[in-house]
Amino acid sequence: MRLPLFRASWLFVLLFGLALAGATVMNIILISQTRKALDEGILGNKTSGTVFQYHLALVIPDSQDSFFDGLREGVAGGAAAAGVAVQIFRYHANVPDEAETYFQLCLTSRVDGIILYAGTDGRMESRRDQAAEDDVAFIPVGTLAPPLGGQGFIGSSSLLQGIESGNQLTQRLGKAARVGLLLTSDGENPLDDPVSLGVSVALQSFPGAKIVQAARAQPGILSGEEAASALLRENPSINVLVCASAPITEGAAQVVVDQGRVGQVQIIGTDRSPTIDRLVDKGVIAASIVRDSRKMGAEALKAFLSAGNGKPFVKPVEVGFTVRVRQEPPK
Amino acid sequence: MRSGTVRGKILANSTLILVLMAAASLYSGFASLELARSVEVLFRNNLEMEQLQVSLDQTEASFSEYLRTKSSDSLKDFIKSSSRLTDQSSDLNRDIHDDEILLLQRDLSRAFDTYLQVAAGGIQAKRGRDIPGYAERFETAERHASSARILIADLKDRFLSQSLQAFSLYRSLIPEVLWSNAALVLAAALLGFSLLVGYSRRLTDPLSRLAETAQAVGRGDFQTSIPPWESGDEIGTLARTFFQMQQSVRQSFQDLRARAEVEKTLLEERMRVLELKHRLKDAELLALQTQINPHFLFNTLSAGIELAGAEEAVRTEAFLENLAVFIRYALTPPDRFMVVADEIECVNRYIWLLRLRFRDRYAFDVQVDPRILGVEVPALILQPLVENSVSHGLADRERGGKVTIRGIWETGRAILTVKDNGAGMGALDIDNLLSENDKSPIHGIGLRNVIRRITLSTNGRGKVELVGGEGEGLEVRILVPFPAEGDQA
Repeated sequence: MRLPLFRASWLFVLLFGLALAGATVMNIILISQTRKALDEGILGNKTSGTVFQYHLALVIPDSQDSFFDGLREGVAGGAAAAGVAVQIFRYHANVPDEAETYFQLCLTSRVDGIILYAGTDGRMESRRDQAAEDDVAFIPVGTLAPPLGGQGFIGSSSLLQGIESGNQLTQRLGKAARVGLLLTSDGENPLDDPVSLGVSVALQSFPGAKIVQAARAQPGILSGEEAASALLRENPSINVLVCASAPITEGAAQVVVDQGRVGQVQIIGTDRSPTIDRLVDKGVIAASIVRDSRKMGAEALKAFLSAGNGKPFVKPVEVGFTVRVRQEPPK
Repeated sequence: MRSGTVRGKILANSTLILVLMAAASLYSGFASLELARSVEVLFRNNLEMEQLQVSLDQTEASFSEYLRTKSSDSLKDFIKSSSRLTDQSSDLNRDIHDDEILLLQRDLSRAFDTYLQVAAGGIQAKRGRDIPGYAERFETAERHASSARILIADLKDRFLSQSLQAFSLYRSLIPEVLWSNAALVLAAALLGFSLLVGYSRRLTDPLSRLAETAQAVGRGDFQTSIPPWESGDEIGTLARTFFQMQQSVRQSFQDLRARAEVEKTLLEERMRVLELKHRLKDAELLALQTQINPHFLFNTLSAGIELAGAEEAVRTEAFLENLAVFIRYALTPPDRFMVVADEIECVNRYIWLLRLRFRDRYAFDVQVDPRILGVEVPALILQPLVENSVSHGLADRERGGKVTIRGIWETGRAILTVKDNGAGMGALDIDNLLSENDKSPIHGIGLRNVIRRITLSTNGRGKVELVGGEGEGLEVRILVPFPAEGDQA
């Protein structure tokens, strides 16, 4: 009896040791996990990771628009290979002054370059001068070229987007087109918006076709629905909706589907997203004018690198667009 | 302290238990400390951001105060707070990494640099009374400070978000750690208790067995053996010593028993000697019983001799004289030793008396080796034998009865024989007669008396042999060893 008890005591000691070791390991894992989570941005972990050569700030609206996703991906795509670390500042789309705040912040922090997407706030020239004074490369991107030739501006013209949208809708409806325009929130008179102007240009060749109403959708994930719903409710004659951004396109398509007016109300959308692609393939969206924001971003990075290498500032770049329509199944 | 001792084992066991409990306690303490430390780490970044915020506020306040009052105190405050801000911002990342937080830190550190540079310029402009200069720098510094605050707020948000994310994970694991710690302490306590109980049993079991064995021995059960205990500690020593003591006691008892056996044998021998002495006394008593006022008889016979001489009755005088001599010899104490010559003289006078009585009915032949005449023998050993032959062996023979008396010398002993040609004696009777327990009066007490006296007087070295059979006569042989030194003492 004595020997088994003696052995059992050592078995207990062994089990206790294992339990102690297990608990210790658990603690170590716990602590290491929390420390690791903190180490990712910890102040004391400054030297870890690759050190890049350039610090480039990208200031864009905080939007669900896939356009900006493409823009960001275009900038980031070749950045790491070029030794550029990209820092993204997102401002509220309906608070344009925040873009200026982040611009100033970037100057204060003396980053190497700033890629700024700004709407029609008219500050592009002054920012260029201020950045030059602080020896910071400044690359404006957007869909509305600034005045005075837009030196260094890289964008996709909203006017051209509007013309292509008009072409797409007149191809389908011709003179019967009754157009409703759903525009982005930046800007004042919707009919003065470059997209509106472009559509008007395209409609000139089709007498009878007209823009029934133009409206701006406020920022927000349901803005497209609200604006499209109101537009269709107030203007039952509208048989085609031209949408100026991807979120507005998705919202308008949802309204048309909900109201059971697919086919009755054509949709000419903007840009791409998985939802838009799916709706295009299902015929809900007749066509989407896809601005090449990825190329825009890549061109902006290229411009920054040229400036960083002492080359003269680039001329304005128009990245253009493509048209996404329903793929007909092969016969 | 030797580890093999009971004290050493108790100390080792207690130390083991203490180590277990200490390990569990230390571990729990360590874990709790780490929990608290981790919480502190979780919010360390936010604390540093807060300190940077405070330092920036103080620097900005002192800068504004100096521009407003140009006081040396505010300048000192500015220098002090700006130095602190510079020191604190030295912890911020300044390299370019592909990481948002690290880039924000870089932004912040450079924003501080820009702000402090502009503020220092403002101070210089104030000292140089350059009003537009310090006013412009003040506005610029305010803008930079505002940017720094935005960055601090952004970093705070990110650190807080990060900390909360880490804390969520952390919090989900805390109960497991606490439960594991509690389980560990409980396990340590149970283990310690188990070890305590197990070792106590291990320590006290042999003591209990030893006590049971001691109780059995105390009851006189020396056959109960203590179980083998190979331990080298005090209990083992005690057990071995007790075993040795038990063996010694057992051996002592065996020795005592053997000695008691010997003493019993000696006692029996002693009893046998006493019995022999008792029988000798009986013989003496018997002899005394046969004495009928011997002094009176002897004096009377002496008077008869004188009377026969006075009357010139020669035969009567000889008869009385021989009878008197014989009686006087017969009155000799039985334990007295006489030489063989005296015994022969006594026998011859007895034969003379028998011839007077029985004339030629019996023939007697006496021949003795002169070398044994001086040998001492118990008194009156031959005459009873001759009397026994005449009274018993030859009692039924009217004629031809013969009694032969011989005295023979052999190396180391003398042999006296009395032989008759009478009725003899059966083998059974001979054996009974030679047996010490025989008390039958078949052959009278004379022969038995002689046999016992010879045996007693020679300490068993002398003996009496009876040779003969029914109708073949009887020969009594007395083997008397020459006396060893001290035999007659």
